Amino acid sequence: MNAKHATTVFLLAALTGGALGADHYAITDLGSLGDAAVATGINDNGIATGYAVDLLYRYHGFTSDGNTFTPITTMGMTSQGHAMGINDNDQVIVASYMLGQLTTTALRYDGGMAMPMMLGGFMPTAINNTSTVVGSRYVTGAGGLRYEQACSWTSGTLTTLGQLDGGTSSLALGVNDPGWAVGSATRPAALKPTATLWIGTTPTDLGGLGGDWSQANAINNQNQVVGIAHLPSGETHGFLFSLNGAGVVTQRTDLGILGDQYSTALAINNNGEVVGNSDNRAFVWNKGVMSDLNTLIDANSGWILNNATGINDSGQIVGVGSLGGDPFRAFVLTPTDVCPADFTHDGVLDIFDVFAFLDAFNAQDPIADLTGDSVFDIFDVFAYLDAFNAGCPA
Amino acid sequence: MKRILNRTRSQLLSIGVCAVIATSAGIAAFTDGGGARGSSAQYVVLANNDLGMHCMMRDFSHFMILPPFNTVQAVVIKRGNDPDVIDLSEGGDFTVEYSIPGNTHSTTKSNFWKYDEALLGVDLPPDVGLTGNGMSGEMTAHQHKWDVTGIPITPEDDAGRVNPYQMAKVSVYKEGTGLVAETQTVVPVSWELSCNVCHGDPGPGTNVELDVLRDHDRLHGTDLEASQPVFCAGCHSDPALGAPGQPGISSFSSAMHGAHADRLDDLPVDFGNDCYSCHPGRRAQCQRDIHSTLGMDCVSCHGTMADVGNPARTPWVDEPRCADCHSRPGFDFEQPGKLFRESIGHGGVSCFACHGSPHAITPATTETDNLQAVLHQGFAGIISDCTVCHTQQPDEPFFHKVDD
Repeated sequence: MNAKHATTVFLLAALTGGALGADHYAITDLGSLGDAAVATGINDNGIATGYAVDLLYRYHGFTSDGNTFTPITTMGMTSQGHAMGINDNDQVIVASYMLGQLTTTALRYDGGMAMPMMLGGFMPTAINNTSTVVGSRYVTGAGGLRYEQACSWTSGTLTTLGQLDGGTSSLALGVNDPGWAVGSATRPAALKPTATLWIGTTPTDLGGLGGDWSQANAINNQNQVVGIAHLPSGETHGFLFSLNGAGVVTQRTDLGILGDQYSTALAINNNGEVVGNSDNRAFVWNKGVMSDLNTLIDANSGWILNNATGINDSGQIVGVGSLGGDPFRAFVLTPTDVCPADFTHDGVLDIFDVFAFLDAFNAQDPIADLTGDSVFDIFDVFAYLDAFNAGCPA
Repeated sequence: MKRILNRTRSQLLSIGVCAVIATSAGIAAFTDGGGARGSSAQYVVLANNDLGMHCMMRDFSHFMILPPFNTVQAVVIKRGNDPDVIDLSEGGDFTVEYSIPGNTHSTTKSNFWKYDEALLGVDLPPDVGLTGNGMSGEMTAHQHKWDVTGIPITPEDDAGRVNPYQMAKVSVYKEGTGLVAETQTVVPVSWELSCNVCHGDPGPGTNVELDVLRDHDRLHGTDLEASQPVFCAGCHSDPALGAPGQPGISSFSSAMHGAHADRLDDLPVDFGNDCYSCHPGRRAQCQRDIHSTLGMDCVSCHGTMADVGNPARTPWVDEPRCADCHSRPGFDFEQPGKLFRESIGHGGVSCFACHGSPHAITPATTETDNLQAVLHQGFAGIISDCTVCHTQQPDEPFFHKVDD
């Protein structure tokens, strides 16, 4: 019996079970410039990013921790600044371009720096914790037509990602820490795209849910991919695909819908929690259950949550909704019923939480350092046992 | 119909005519292949949006002025010494497809499909527009042209960017041959309807649309706030939507422009162009054409807001005509009784095919609106290189009129 097994046995023997509980959220307005504001992501430090529109309809990137709203200045009256993503090193990627022009400049603002680093002429969409940025750029295809093609930037080198069967259009929309990128690509003569995975520059068609098209929006470090797919019924649903180490889909999950129209999955954290929107309602999905986030906030808050666009490993969620009837306001949701032992964040204390804690403990993930002393030892195990036996708040 | 991709590559390029042009704006180098210029391509397709800009609401929960609805028109020409326009008469052998790479779905980006039944009495399938067309598909052949109407595109693309100048690809396939021609054109759309300039106070809890409805209720004794979502053209006729309105009530255009014509002096923000106080816009430039480059603005062609709001004017029909300003011996402009976007000229080719969309008459100020001309003739501007359609430079002088 190895140390991991011994710890497991020890924990199982010590567990007495815990009360059921459910996460609720406190909601905070991320701020605005007078008009619409849309959050596009949040990192594990609780810093959100997105874009905001001022009264002259100029678009600006921004960062916000819920208390301080910081615009990222655009570079001219007609240029746009979309902050597309942020990593745990507080590096923000911004797309800066002039409307009507094909050239986009990818900028990276490193935490606390006022001046950006210019990454190159491409449209950035996501950044991982090793500073790899994915996105797309316009290239000239056969016949002189201009197409967007997926690309990846790493350490100063911009690389075009491969196409499916020699196709043209492709977008890279997400990247995990090992560098696997996801997005969509269109085959030659096809009118609609298919969800695509890139390992290195090699594309893999991930397929969909049996319909005409699909698009992958994000991937986590467990190689779980989320996105949207067309169904044979004509509906479009969010999906969760699990991939093995070779990038092969081993499980396809239709996330379902809240109402009767559609859903789309936009982000996933490393705990497997998925966010997106269904029938114009923001949702969080975990272990087979799609929950309307509007039912998990104060009913008297005045907020209607329309879309959830990002989630970090602490369960904080960002998105866009309306406040007091005023639409397109960016928000951040912070779990209030924090249950330290609920490592799977599903509101249920069970053996899966134990396994999740053990995995984190053995990997020396900081979330398992429950004593906060940067040492992974028996005292963290004791702290976990105490939390588990205490149960979750009702 | 199974289409076989069969691209014929040109072996020779006329270097003098087909010189590669790479500008600082990043316009692509011109390569051989599908482009008609200097190649042996048998067909060429030229496409454009019908209006140059389509407005839509960003939020349909309160009221609707315009739905997501965009139109692309195309002219397919068989090249030759005497080119021929491929249309309804030969349409059976051809399929013209459209798609918008990078924007494949709209339902998740707009709440239009949530309120379509309440507003218009129709429950549309996801990503399907009011005419039954989606974000990609086949165009319909007519006399002289092909088109697709009601594309339900929103300004937000699949990557989450808000871009009013997204591009469609138009591809022509011939039975038994495969792909014979392709082009790209801008599908302009904006939800920059800036009622917020005057309606509602900035800050949390503000609701611009509610302020609009409350003002209407206060001024006109209606109860629109209790009737949301409101279809404005349900009462105010709007030819753009085919809405007859209610007897005795002014058209939507007359009501809006008439009611606001004397309020321009009260604008809190200087947009540089008063029309952009409401219409797209300060950011999404509706007018981005050669006329704007020459210093003309909306008023130059459309008149003042009071002119546009004149109750005697039929909106969307009584529009500026090229011949109002342009005259040249031997030249015709619009056909009698038709607007620029509906007219044909030289060789039965639609005017838009060579000149571009209204409000984006080439050379436009935007790289995207100029791409098609650069693709086919190597430079921005009016399609003026005869060999785009003619396989040899014609001996006869060019005629700018319908009759040959």
